[in-house]
Amino acid sequence: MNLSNETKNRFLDMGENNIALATKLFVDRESFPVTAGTADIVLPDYIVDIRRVTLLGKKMYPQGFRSYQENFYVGRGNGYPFNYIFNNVGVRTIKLYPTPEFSVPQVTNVWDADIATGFIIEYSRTPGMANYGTGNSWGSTLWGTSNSPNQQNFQLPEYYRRRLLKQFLAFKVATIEGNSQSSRMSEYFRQKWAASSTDFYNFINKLHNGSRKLVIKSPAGIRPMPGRPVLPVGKFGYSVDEGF
Amino acid sequence: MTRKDVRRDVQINLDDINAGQYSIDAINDSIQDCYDDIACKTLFLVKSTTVNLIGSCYYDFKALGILDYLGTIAVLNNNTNMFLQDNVSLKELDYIRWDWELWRGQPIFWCPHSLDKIVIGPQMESPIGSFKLFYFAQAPRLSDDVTNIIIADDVQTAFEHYCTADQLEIASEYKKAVGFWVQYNNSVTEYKRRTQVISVSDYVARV
Repeated sequence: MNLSNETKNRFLDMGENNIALATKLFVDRESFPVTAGTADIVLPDYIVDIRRVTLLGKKMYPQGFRSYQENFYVGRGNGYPFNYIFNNVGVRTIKLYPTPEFSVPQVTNVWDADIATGFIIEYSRTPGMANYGTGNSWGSTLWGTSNSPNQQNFQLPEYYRRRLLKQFLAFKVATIEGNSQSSRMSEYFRQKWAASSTDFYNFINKLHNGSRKLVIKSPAGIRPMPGRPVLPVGKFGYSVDEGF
Repeated sequence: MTRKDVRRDVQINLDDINAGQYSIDAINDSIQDCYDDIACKTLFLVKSTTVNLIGSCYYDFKALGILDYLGTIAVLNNNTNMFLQDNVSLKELDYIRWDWELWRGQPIFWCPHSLDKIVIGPQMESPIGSFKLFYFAQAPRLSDDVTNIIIADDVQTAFEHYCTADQLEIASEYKKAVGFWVQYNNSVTEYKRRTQVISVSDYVARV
């Protein structure tokens, strides 16, 4: 089987990207400057999904583009932005609503000290795919580490990477034209890849997504249930609804 | 049982004791992969350590020096001598306060955040004191042939089955590998039941 390292690395990139998109496990944060009077901010391409946005430490809430178009077609004034609209088709952008009437500088300590003073986006991102398809993929050796420290932070963990991506590599190698092609072997490893991926998703969900519930088993009971407003009787009188 | 013991059994299974068709490095890699796989699927390695509170609600334990960290089991606040509540998620923290990252006080909650981080909140205004972290650990890296592999005696054969199957796959003998995979999966499933079902309430008592 004569397979170049370039091809192997391309398949490893591909497998890692599939896992990253399915689990959204590579999480990072960045701060972006906010300019008064400007609603749109261009984001890097490697952002797949937004998990949390905070402005001056307060959570902003996501809004669909259709909702934005239909409900807020008038009166798009400036103010304190409470909502954001994420456009992940083509060029990634985020639109703040209402348009901010003040500026916020970019900050650096996005995990601690500067949360209260910055505009911070926490997002899921792709792995180090910057060189994908250029013949210079980042996996410098078959099971080696990344060349770039930044990309190295966004690899599958060492304790899972080799044995998981090995299935994908074998599956893809058996599908390409040449001496290594074997449809039976390809099908065998495709099924093994599917089973291994499912194991990995379960592992991530169990350990890193859900709350543990070992010390307290019952749900927290914290739900967004706004109370019904109670109007003062002396001011508004009695209701004439059914029952009165 | 050491890596050398497993490797010898695998070489016998492959009729490769003196043939050298299967490289020693490849078998060693398989043994490490098997160790990692059992540790991730069964979460049988449980440890604890003391961590100082820091000036953030996000704790990256690998950055704090716990290199074999796999996932959190429980957190005991040494300042109050109480376990932190573990029944909230990030979304539920948002329900408590929309600015919970700015919340200051004695830690009450913890929840997973991502592969490397957990959230402990609220954050102390001036971080003083520590907490005891109970965590699932990764399988140790096997760098020599004399270190004992930590696993229950009756599950030791899982290593032999995994590595034999893995080596057969590398040699494109994937149909022969299936029988060994079945035996391996049966062992791990039984071990998982033992570690995660029968003794789940003993997680914090075992360390």
